[in-house]
Amino acid sequence: MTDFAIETWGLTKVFGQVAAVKELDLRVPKGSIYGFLGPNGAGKTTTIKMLLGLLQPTGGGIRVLGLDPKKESLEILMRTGYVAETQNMYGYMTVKEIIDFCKALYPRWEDGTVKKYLDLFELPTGKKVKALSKGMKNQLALALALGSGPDLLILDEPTSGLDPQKIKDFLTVIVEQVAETGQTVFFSSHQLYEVERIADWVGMIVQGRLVFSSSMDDLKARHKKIKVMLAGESLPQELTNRPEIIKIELQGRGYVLTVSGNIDRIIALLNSLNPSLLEVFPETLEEIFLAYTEGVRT
Amino acid sequence: MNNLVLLKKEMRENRWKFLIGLAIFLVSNITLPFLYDTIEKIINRNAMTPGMERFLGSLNTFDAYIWSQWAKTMNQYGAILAIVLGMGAVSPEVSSRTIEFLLTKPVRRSQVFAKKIPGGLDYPGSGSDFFNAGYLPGGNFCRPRLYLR
Amino acid sequence: MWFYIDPASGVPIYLQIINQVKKAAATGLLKPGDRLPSVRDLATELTVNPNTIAKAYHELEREGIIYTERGKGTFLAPREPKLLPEERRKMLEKLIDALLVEAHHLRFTKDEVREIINRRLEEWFNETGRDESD
Repeated sequence: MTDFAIETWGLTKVFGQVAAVKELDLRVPKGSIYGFLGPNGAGKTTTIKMLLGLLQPTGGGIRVLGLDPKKESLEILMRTGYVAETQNMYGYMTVKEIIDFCKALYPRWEDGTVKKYLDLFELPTGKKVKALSKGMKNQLALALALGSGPDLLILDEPTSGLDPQKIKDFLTVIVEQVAETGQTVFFSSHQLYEVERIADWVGMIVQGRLVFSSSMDDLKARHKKIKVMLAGESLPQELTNRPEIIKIELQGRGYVLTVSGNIDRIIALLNSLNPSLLEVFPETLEEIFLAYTEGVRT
Repeated sequence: MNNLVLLKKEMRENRWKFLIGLAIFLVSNITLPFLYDTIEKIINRNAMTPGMERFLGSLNTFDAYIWSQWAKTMNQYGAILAIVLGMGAVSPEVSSRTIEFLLTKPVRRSQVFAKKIPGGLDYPGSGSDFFNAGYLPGGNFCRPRLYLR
Repeated sequence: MWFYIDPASGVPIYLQIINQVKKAAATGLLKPGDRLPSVRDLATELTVNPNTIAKAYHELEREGIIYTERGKGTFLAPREPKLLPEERRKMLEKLIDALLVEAHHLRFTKDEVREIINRRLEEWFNETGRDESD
């Protein structure tokens, strides 16, 4: 068995002339909460749909729970809970009816889990699905996904459009589930605040390409913001051309550099320029995200 | 187990189609025996029209009349209804995107579509098939005597 | 709960937890033998990945600051760390080195650094009511 809940290599999806996902090598360790970041239209949902077998890749390979979605999608779907960005459940069914509908489809259904979360979210079982608010639909979808006793939970922008209290409840449930069952969670988001809190692994996709994928702690250790002020000089070319410097901002008379990797080497280089000020700051996930989406700009 | 919930869902979603289909068949079939006398009269009145003798054959007995007309209804109405009502079996799920909900559940795609066939196509037909079957063995016995010649 | 996490600070969350446990122990907020919340409880309480909490606890245990008793929970270790004096010394030196690097970047002279450290040393022992014999 592999140590990865999700593994892709060279995964590519082309729609007409446009490549939505390019050469994606994704590795999601078992038992992790993996935050899949990216701006809108970066290819997050396309990737998720390929993992679930809803879309056929143009090229490359996928293993989900060690299985091939092309041949073993039934087995994958049996062990995977999925919560879509917008819930498209049968509106005419009541909450209870849709639970019974799903229950019949899964071999490992856990009534206790569903009941626990229905109670926690205070979802009325007699109400029709179409009468539920967006937040309640999301909560219902999460309860259904967890009720199937999955080894892997795939969530596509699960908290978009929810109010802060509902987001907090949603995240708490996920954290609690992971603590209890050790299941893997793969969730796409651009709510960086929540990813920073609950994800221990994080990957980011921009224009269909993976720009980084690592543990959250490594990511933070690797990325720093350096504020530097040089006496009347601009930054030399040999520095601005270094690949580690992913963003350069001019602030007043100083520069703010966003550096990825080789922090010590960059600091040494800057020190050799005899700066009048040199400060190193930690980077938040949001700053790292923005540095990659904006690219190198001065 | 999972076959059952899928079939139940399809039946429920297509309830109105089933009802419309059934209503059309019922109307056409219930009126069949009552029209026997009228049609016989019309044909007799025009008995001299060339080629009419072929129709007279099918009117010889009530049984033959029911059989031939029933087969006609099944073929004509049935085909039209199956196409019109069956057309919408898949597309509503695609356009309302509930198909995504269904396809991310552990259900074989062949099952999803197989369950749509009775749901969308066969249903009105098979329902009134059953209804009509009652006429056939009864034959003359069931013939309504409301209209006297 | 005296734990507080600021995900927006840029400091890895497991480090924030380690620092807070250390600080709570150093200021006497946590006493030796006091029980820490379980990984699951703290993860739910803070809405933080349980693996992150486990990582922090693991690191604290490795440093001898806390210990785990199977089936009972996690507790603050007695003041005498399990680490060898040599190891303790090395750890402290590493921290001082980091401080000196920062001080260098901030362009402090040797004497300035010495003076600031001395002053903070006095203040800290006065504030927490500890002295050298403690």
